[in-house]
Amino acid sequence: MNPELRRQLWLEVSPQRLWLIPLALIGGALVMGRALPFALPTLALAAFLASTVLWGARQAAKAVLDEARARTWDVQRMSALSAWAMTWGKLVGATLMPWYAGAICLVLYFSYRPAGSLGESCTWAAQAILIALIAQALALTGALITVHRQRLVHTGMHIVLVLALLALLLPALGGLLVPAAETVGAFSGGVVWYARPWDSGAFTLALLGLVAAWAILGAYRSMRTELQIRGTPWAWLAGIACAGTVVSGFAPAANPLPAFIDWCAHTALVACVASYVAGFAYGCNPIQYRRVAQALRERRVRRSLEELPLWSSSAALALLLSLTAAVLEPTSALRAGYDTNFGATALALTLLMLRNLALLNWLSLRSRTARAEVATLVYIVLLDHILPRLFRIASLPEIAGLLELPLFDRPWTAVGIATLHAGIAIGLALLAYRAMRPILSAPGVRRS
Amino acid sequence: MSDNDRPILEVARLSYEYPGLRALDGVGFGVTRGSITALVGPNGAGKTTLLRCLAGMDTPLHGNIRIDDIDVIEEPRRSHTVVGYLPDSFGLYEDLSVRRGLAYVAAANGVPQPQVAALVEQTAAELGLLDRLEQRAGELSRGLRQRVAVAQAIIHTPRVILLDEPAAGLDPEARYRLGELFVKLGRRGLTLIVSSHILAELEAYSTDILILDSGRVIEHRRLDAGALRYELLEIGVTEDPQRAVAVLAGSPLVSDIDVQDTVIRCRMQGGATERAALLKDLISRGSSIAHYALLNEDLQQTYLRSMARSAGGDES
Repeated sequence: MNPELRRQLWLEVSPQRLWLIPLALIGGALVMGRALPFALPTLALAAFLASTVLWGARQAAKAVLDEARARTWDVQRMSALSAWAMTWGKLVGATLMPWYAGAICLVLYFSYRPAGSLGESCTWAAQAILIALIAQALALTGALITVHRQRLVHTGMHIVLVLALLALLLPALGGLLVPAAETVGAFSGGVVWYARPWDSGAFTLALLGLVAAWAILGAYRSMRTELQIRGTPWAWLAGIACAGTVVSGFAPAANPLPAFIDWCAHTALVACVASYVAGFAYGCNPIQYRRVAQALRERRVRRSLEELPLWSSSAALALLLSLTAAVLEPTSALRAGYDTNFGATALALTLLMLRNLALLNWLSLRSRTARAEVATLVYIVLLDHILPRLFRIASLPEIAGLLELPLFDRPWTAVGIATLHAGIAIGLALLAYRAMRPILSAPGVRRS
Repeated sequence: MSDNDRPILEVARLSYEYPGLRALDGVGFGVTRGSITALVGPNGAGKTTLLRCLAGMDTPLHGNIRIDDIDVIEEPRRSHTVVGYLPDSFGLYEDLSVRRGLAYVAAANGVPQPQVAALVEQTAAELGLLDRLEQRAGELSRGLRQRVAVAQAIIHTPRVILLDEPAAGLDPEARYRLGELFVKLGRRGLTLIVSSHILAELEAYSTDILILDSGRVIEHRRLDAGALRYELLEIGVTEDPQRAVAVLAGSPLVSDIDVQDTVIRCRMQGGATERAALLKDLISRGSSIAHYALLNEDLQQTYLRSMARSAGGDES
């Protein structure tokens, strides 16, 4: 048996829990069955989600965070267990009791379901199971990134809060991707994806299955990183390409070239989101850049690719795909439904992402404090929201025009402005990196 | 060179950086099989960083580490099968019994399941934990917790054991027993690197000393008798100590001469033959020797001398 799974069993499973949980759930169902018999299936499914999504995700995260808190994480990192054994051992072992409670809820759900609704009930149950798997895998990934950051980047800000604020500050990026995702649930009858109608229940189930598979792979890859197993970021890029393929399936494109351009632009936008997530989640570790530079000096190309921060690979992919889409777009400009160059818009948003991540790196390298993420958010608010308005109030529209990106009206102008922004920010980050190198290289510096 | 003479652990050009400072700067050394190396140095010298790099827990900027022919930087996970590591701020599985905690660590380190139970008993017996196996780790005293942590580090019978401040917080008796255990492990052919500030205790069981300062190795040598060993000599003269000092200063084997009235203390490289030759030289050149004694240089003195020499080198 997987040693990690066995340890989790020792910790989690106790006779009291084994009889108390069914007693509480079945007792609750009997009471609710008398008061609200018609709502019992819904309540049972809600209880399943509460148990497996809320409690299960908490347990999955605690499987790593508690180790770090108890200082036993080093024991685990020193073990010879494979990253996969560690991942599934924690994912299954830590969530055993939530799944046990969830299984009882599902039994209640099927027991009280309306007659003749087996197929629909099965679909709902399967969707709920997949949502739970996704939540647990994401929680484990988040916990792994948190302990990684605490050890290497020493940053205090909570990742989820930073990413939520970032999402609020970048409405254009989300706005281009979310409508596509909304169409999944918009039609109760069916979904049109790659010009073909699909049953919405089956489609959602398949989509959740795909997301669950990628979420588990993400947890495994994060575990590899935490266990010092190096690798090229192929899974990260493949995941982005897969998400781009799913999203671009909702855009109407009859011919291969426009379809390819849409795929490039959508995948570039997904890569932008992924770069933000990776950049802000993992933070900026200057020593990682030093290791990349060292590997390049030693002409070890593979090693330099392995050492590259995750955000840089997706940022490069975003730049490549958005540039391709922007250059090819004029050939399909006469397509119905498009009155602008979507590729150029994607390119401008990619350059904006490069600017923001360069700002994050500049602030991290310059101050080496735990507040670089917050400072970056403040800079984004200033550059994109406050300064343009102030310049307009001061009747300086020309200067305001250098900060506002006409993403949809004049996408190529937006590309020009974003290039200027990105160039300045990248220049600042490079200067900060160079400024800290002599300090880093000084031999014989004693730690205080 | 036989297999036993070949270093089991080789470090070359190892550098490690934290943002803003270089913690290890071109560190290089080799450790022979079965040796117990005392890793000493002031706070912030890079001892913990070095041990973490050797354990494959942190990736250095550059350099090489080989342990039992495994490249630790390229294959850190594989190296864990031959390395045991006790960090300075270790943790235990507080909610598990000692038996279960040890069984987990053994299995997680690749010990086949049928052998786990026997190995737990054997390791517990070695560390005097047999009567504590059913107790929860969280209920144990500081000394017993330390022993459980050492048991976790050695249960998978690694070939190299890295211990960071293993005796910190232990009472004298517990420290003595820990030292006894290290000697026993060394006799079994295991190689140990022990970082500690308690030099008197390291002296009891160490065969080698590795002194780090500001991320650099300033001394690495065997502590038992050998060609490079420094002896502390005390020479008493009846009159004119400067005559004897002149002879000592002219010898390439003598250093650190200190004169107090008619007693001269100095360090000398070499063995009995070299000492006899020096005495003959002193007498033949007119020194009247009242006594000529060999004092043992303890680890503390070795450490302080190396640190003083390093500081002198830095100043120059």
